[in-house]
Amino acid sequence: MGKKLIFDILEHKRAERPAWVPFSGIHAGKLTGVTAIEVLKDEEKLYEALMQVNKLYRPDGQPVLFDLQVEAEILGCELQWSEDTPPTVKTHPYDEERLIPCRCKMPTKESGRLPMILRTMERLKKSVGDTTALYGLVCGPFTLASHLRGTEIFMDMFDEPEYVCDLIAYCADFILEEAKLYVEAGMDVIAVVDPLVSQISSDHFEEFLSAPYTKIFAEIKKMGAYSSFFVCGDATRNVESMCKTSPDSISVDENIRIPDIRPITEKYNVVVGGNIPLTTVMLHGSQQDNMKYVVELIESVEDNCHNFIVSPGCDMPYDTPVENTIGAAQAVIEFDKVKELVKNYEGTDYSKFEVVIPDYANLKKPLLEVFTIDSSSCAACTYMMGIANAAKEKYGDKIDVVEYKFTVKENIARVMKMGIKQLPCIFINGELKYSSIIPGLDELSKDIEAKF
Amino acid sequence: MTRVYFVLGYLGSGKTTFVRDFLSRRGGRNAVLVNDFGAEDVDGVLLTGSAEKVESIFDGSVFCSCRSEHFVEAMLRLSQEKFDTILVETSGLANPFQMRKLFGYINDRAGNVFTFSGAVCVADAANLEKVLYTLNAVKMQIAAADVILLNKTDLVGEETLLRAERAVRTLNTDAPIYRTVGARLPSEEFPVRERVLPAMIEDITVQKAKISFSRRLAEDERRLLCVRLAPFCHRIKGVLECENGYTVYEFSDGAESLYPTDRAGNFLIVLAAGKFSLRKKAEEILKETGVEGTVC
Repeated sequence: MGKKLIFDILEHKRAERPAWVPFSGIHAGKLTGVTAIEVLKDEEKLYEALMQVNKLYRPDGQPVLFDLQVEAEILGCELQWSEDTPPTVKTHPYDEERLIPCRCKMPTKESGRLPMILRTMERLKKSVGDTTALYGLVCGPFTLASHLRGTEIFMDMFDEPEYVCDLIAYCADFILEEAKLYVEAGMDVIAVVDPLVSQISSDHFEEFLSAPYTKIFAEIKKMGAYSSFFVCGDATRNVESMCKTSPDSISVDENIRIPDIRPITEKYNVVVGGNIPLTTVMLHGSQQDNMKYVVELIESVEDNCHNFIVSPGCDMPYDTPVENTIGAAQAVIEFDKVKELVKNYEGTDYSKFEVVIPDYANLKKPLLEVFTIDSSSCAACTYMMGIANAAKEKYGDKIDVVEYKFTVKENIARVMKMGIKQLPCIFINGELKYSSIIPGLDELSKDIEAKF
Repeated sequence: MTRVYFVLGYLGSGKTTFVRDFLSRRGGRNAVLVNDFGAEDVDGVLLTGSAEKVESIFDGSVFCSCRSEHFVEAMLRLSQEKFDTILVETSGLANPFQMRKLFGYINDRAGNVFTFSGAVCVADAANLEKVLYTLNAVKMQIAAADVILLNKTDLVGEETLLRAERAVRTLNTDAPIYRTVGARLPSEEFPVRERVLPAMIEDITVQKAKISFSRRLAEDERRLLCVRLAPFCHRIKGVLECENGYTVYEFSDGAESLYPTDRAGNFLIVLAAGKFSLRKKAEEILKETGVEGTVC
């Protein structure tokens, strides 16, 4: 599974299941308690956060850094940073004059944040690169051109289309140089992320973007990497034009219905990825909502073990609850079990189950209750159960440990009765102590000993 | 119930002017949510003092339309404060149909304390043709509007205004259109409807044709051709052969502008909106005027 699965899918082979690529950019920082700024600037913090993503979300593929402003920063745009969103471009160096940047600004290993990014890529490659396909993300040439020129670029498309073509051609060359560095650093897939593509018509796509994108994807192939074309917004009309530029895959957000574009992507034999809604499902939904959404998404795609990757619509919101992504991951990885689980959850009257809640006030010894989706298949659940078992090994008969798997109907009733919203979690003597984030043994020991 | 209006429009069209004017004539407790996606909070600063609360939100990249978490969170916060009116000034690149969907979601979560009172779209008459030509978001904003202010009308001629109104009507058949100078809404009486995105939005709004000439056009025939094409076209622009080489040529509001260029060529690019075949129309006009040219 993992990397091989992604490779098989990108080679258009029929796989055992759809692939799973969580776009944990800034959200990775939440897993280790660091801000978006730290995770986008600090090698050590980025690396640790990405390792946590790999551990908890069991990705088949994962991006290293999701920040479309890296290139703009190198080319002289000032950025405004935020603790819970990616940075925004604050100044556009060519907003007053129609200029093309000097070729001398093409990226090298020393440009901007690239040294930090390249080192992290190399480290991650060594740590998880055998099992996980790594995605190097670059800003698409149209969005990069607009970072440089500002919103004037939309007037230029009307007034000076030749200038827009020249600027986009420069940006395409720029990101190809960057892509070369990323491939050298071990990236398996180069994803070109161009949110602005949804803003233009298919005629304009053909006029301004078809040629540069065709070149970009051909060059990435020559580098020995796979390619992906990410868009956000309603780019439905441009999907055919995008496919004609021959990327290995495209990735879309919730504004596009995958079943609507599937006939087009299949016609061009392009893998399609997407599109768990970022705000309404991932950020504000429950774990069950996420599992249900992913189950329905997979079911909505015909021949879903072929040319299909499940992923969030775009870079996940920083505060996405960890358990929601765990639920989404589980739905991709253990589709049949989760489908059954969702069905049970929705279609069963749980009031008929007699659940006996322990008399927590009068326990003879500390009781650890571990609620999991299923510790035999969900990575985060495995770790949560693993740490509880380690405590059991340490304390022996002095404590009791019990696991409740959500795949068992009686346990669903128990979860409901206890008002549990997030899995996996650990209760000690009836008190919620750890939810989704796995504690260390020392930390857990302290909590247990407090109950002796 | 809190009345919520969406204020749509491209950057620089006059949305902030509209918000200030609208609120200055309105009593009660009002709030503004500026969802401008930009790093520089210019609109937020300009609006300070115009309402009890002015909140600016940044949902990431200025060009990234898929992030909406801060919009949702801000609206949920505002739902607690029982304002009479909330104006949501959207980003110039916002997809209003997606925002309406999100609004329904937010209202459910907020306990249905909001009532949607309409979407006002402010369009800059001078650049509407350009942004309609280049940006899907602007087409969607026009299509989603319950009332449209064609603003800054003092800066353009009647021909441009008529073309702009015609382009608006191809996208939105019934919303009242007001010609304004300072983005003042003359009447708050307008029907609020559930609107849908026209199925073939780009096909009915943008058409392009290239007219190539095999010889240098005389001044008279060039002008005659453009005068005849103008009522149907957003833009007439190209490179033409002239006595001393080549000239960039543009025809707008009845006036020609020419300046020399090194680029060789002898063609005009014409752009149009409307449910007719621009190529066919251009061929007809070539025939009528006797100008020799090929349309493709």
